[in-house]
Amino acid sequence: MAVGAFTSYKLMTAFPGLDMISITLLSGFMTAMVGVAFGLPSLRIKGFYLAVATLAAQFFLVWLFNKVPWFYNNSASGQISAPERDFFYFTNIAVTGPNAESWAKYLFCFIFVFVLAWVARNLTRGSVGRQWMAIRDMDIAAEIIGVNPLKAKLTAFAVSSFYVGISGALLFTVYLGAVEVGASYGIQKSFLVLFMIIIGGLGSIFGSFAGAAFMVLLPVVLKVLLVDGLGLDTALSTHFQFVIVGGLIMFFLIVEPHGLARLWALMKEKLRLWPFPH
Amino acid sequence: MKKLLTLTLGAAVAAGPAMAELVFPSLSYRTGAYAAGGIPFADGYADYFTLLNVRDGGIGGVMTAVPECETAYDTERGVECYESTRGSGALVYQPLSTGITYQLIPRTTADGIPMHTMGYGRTSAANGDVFSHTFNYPANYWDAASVIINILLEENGGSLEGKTIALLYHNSAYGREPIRTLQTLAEQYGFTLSELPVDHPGQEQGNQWLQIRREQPDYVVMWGWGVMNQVAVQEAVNIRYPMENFIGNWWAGAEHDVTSVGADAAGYRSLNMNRLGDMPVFDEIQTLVIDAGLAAGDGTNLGSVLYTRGMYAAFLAAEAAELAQEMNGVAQIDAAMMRDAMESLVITNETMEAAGMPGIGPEFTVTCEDHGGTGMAIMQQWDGEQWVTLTDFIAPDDAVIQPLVLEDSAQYAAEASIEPQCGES
Repeated sequence: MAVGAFTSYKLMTAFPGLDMISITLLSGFMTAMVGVAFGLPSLRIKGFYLAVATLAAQFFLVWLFNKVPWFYNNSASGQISAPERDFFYFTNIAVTGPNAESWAKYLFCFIFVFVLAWVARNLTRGSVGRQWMAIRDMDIAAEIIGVNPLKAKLTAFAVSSFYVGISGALLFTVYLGAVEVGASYGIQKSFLVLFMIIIGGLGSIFGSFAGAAFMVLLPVVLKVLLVDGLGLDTALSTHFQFVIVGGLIMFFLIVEPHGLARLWALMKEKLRLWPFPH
Repeated sequence: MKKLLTLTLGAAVAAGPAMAELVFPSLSYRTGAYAAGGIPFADGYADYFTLLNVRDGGIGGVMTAVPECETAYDTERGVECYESTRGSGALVYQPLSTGITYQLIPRTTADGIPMHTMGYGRTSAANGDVFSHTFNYPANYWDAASVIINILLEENGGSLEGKTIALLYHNSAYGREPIRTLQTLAEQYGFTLSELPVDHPGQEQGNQWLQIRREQPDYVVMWGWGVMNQVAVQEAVNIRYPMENFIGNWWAGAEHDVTSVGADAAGYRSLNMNRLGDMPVFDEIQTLVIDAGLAAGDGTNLGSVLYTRGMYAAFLAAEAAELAQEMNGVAQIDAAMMRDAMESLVITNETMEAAGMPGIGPEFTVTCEDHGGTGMAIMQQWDGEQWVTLTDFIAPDDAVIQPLVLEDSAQYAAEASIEPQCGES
């Protein structure tokens, strides 16, 4: 995510004429390349050890963006801030910067989410996706039936990094507007994304949407409920939030590893058969 | 205990944009690694407005409201807090976080709401020509760096040639702010600057202090906040670093930073931008706010360094609101009037005395070009039990800072394509 954000920052400041759609896509490609580089060890190590190896990438990148002033154009504070840029060529609609209208921001992100989700859906259904799943389920068996592990693993890293890069770029350019790498793209953010996937459900596209919605909406709901509704003070409700999120993660890991996506599917199933189940 | 706060909060939610009161949102943080500094500041800020409500019936006859929003010193949540409170008729924002300040500078400017970042935030915001809605009087980070060097110069007979100064800083926008000034000053006075970053949240400082022990710098200057301060003071005691050569900025000099070490930390010095000690206003807060059960916190922070600073911030905001009422002749002011008033604010010893806090800060005048105040600060020292004020207000070296401010703000103006606002008026 940090790679995506910093790529778009460098592109935005170096080429003021560029529109946001190309900037965001280019940031995605840049992140994909970095992702492939960090994915190379995946050919040798797997499982838990791979997770730790990619964790190293997290720390390395944050350190890099803090250490090298070129990435933040030598600003005194090490922060990057997004200047105003347009939606697309010849349209005069700002999507970044303080003067951007909310509807423009929303539509801009919505287009990306829609197109990318559609692509993801089709990728997983096609031969590439089937190769990934084969490798995920059992890599030796997959190799025997003719899946090239090098290609499958590296494309998986590239495509997921591409998605992550786009999300990082959008978080910085459209949502936050100014970013400090340690605070916005630190380990906390990685954990948040991981929790979204765990709660939403591993291995499903709908699950990531459900998980993201859940993790973003929960604090808002809790704040409305506890602070405005029950009149607790802000600090207490924040502490409650930690307890509730932690409890939910444990609950999902133990009771329903497939997360909200599975719950949703079960509910649909039950409602279809209701009121006369088998 | 929280009744009034909840009532006002409820009222603010219920009344919404009806604007029956003057709203001063408090982006506080009472949780997380920085809560130790956030709580007393938020208490002081809220209690002063409560005092105005109880004693004077608000400002100019209009009650004040201080809706609180928890940010946990997290920039994203700070932005969310801003977005959720800006529609409530907010007059001025005080985020008490440099990271959040950077996020809010473009937003507040676009929304026309002034932001007051007292002694933190973006230093070059002192150039009001570029930063129309951001104010950082009475002082800023580069002033602090310069004041520290001025004090050291005085102690060393006017020369720091050949000395080494280590800067121990929080590795964030906040901690990196003084580096540029200190580098310039290092060139000018011939001392060596070594930079030691400490990563968020600041509990891990073993390496940095090992390095300090090895290099034995003549002075250690700290830009710390939250839990980082306590750890640093403890580590300094552990390696037996001479405490009087260890100097914090004004966010690294509160009671809670040193009480955990106590008497061993005696000698530790820090800057402060507000004076300490007994002030008549504390008695009024005690009787009218805390004893009446209206305090924002548990009332134990009254008179502490950061409580006083929060109260000082509230006082400056209230003065500006009063001025805005006078300038426009209406009681119910809006954010634009507030901004204009902040830009023509004059704080004299008489105004401070009238508010029951004589000499709490320096006298200063804000103008369209200069949003930064005088930048003067005092030096205080921990004697093992309490903070003792060592000096009077000391001025920074404007000849060094002003060109840096202009350079940095010009860069921002070019990046964000801002036209200077002061020329035409």
